[in-house]
Amino acid sequence: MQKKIIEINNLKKSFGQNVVLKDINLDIYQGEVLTIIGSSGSGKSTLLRCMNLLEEPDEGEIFFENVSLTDSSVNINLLRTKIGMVFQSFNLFNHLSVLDNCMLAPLKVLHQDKKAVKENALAMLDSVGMKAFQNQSPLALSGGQKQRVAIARALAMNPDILLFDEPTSALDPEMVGEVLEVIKSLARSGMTMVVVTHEMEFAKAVSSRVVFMDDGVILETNTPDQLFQNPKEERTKQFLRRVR
Amino acid sequence: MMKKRIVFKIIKKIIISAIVLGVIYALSSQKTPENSLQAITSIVEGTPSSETLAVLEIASEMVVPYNYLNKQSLSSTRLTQLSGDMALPSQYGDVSITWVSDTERMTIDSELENFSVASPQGSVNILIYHARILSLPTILQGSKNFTLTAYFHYNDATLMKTYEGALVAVMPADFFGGVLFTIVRYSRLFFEGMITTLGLSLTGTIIGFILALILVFLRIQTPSFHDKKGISVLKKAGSSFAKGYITLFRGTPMIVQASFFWYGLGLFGNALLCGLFVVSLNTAAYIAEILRGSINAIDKGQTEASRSLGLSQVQTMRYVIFPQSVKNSMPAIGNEFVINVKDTAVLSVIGIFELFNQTTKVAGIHYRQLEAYLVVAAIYLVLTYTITKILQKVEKRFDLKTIDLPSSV
Repeated sequence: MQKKIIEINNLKKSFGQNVVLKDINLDIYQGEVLTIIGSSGSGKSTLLRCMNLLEEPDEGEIFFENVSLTDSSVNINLLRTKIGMVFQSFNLFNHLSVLDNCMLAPLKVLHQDKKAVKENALAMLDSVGMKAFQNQSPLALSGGQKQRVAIARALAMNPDILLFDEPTSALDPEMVGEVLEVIKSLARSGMTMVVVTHEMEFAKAVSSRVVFMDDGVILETNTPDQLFQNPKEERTKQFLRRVR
Repeated sequence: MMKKRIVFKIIKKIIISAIVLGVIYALSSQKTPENSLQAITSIVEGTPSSETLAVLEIASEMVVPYNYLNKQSLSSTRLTQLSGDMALPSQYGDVSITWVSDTERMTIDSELENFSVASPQGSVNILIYHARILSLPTILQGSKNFTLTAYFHYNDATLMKTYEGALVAVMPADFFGGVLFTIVRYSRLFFEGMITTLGLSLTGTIIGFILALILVFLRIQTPSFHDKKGISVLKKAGSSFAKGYITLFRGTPMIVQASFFWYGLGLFGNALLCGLFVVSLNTAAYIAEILRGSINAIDKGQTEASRSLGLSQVQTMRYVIFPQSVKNSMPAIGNEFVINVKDTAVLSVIGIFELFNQTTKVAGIHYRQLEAYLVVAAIYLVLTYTITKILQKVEKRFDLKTIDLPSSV
């Protein structure tokens, strides 16, 4: 039995009258790559953002490495250092250089030695192929480059899990490939990842499990082969027909 | 990177020294520009008895030159603004007086004239020497110093008394001459006023900016899910305080605030320091709103990214949000400085001799308001225009305008 990294029990979330998540149960195990697919508005991103409490759940529990995130006495900032997140819109800090983007949190949150932080940040930038841009402003980068820097920034914290919120949706088509390559190589290295995506081919190629969400519930969870070849639910079939 | 850091250090130093200078400047007392001249007396002839000496001394204290035209007595200090003929008394009791001036611009008649002056007993006729002004300095020369010496003779002894005076140009009756005269004659007053105005508004803007950082930090606090009870009460209190402060200072005129703190509370005992206090508090409220606007304009993805990396709310503010919003609001803060240059004029109400108050003084001396206020309008215009241009250069240099608000896509 693999170690559980995240355990979600009976999670509910609504924005005003709009119920976005209805009773979600999901476990994420160490080393797996879980992709979440589904149409827009199905609650994929909200579920992902609950995993590091960027959205506060209304009901239910979320455990990260057996510590309850929803317990208000817990130091959420400390837990977040172990949960990396990559956003659709990159959200790089535009007033800092590429290298400083990767160094800010290790320095200010983990209080690590500056020299070690720099070394580590450079190694992470190197692993995403962005070391040559270390002194650039994020404003001077293309979308694909920004997203690679954002991945390096998350990696620099040495997280136990990485959350990807539609990492390629804001990119020009020709830049999608470079970002997906980076995520694939991370998957090969054994990083635990949850990826919300609209890239079905990528989901097929990289994930160990695929979750299909519709209207705030998890309709189907299966291996990519099973889910894409033999979807059980009618709604899943419909969705897959449409995106193909 | 290195360059940036050096620039930052320099800016820091400039800000700190500006504050220090401003405070020192405010603390140093205001000096009156016209230093009063003391007349000097000494015995030049004879060895008078104490009785004689007493008579001479009383005479030298009682005798004053008169303005020939309107018959006002002139004290030794009033001789510094002289532009008309003088009537110089020839006799005080048994003491006879002779006069000598050292300037060719003035002659003293050798013949005596009858001259009536007002006294408590009514009009009294005395004999005087008529000191005629032959030529006044031109407008550009401004003023010419001279000494007037009076010799008091009594019982073979002579007492000498020296007045220092200055002949000044008369304000021409025509408009252009009047403007030229105002500029030349009072350039020093205007300059001193300008320095006070600039010092007040620059220091006030910088201190206001620092206060605004604190204010806006309090203002944007919102209690969140993970806060302990005490913290969320503190956050609410801080936010309400900042809200109240901003409403209060933006909602009342600075002239009222100044009067309240100076006349009402009597703060500091130094008008200039009190004025600086008022400008700073006032500016803080406005800059806090500017900063709040620019913080709100920053993409919330910046906060999310920062929080997702484990930075606390305070750290997110300090390292991610504030640096960007301060940079973005620099043009508006510079504008606030320009506004302060104009608005500090209301501080004349508490007796600070900034530019406007100096002008009022100048206008009062000659009773020629048109010229004085026209000149000061031009000075204000030149000041604000120059500052605006300099700020635009700085903005370009630091690339402040070309940086987009961080919309991360």
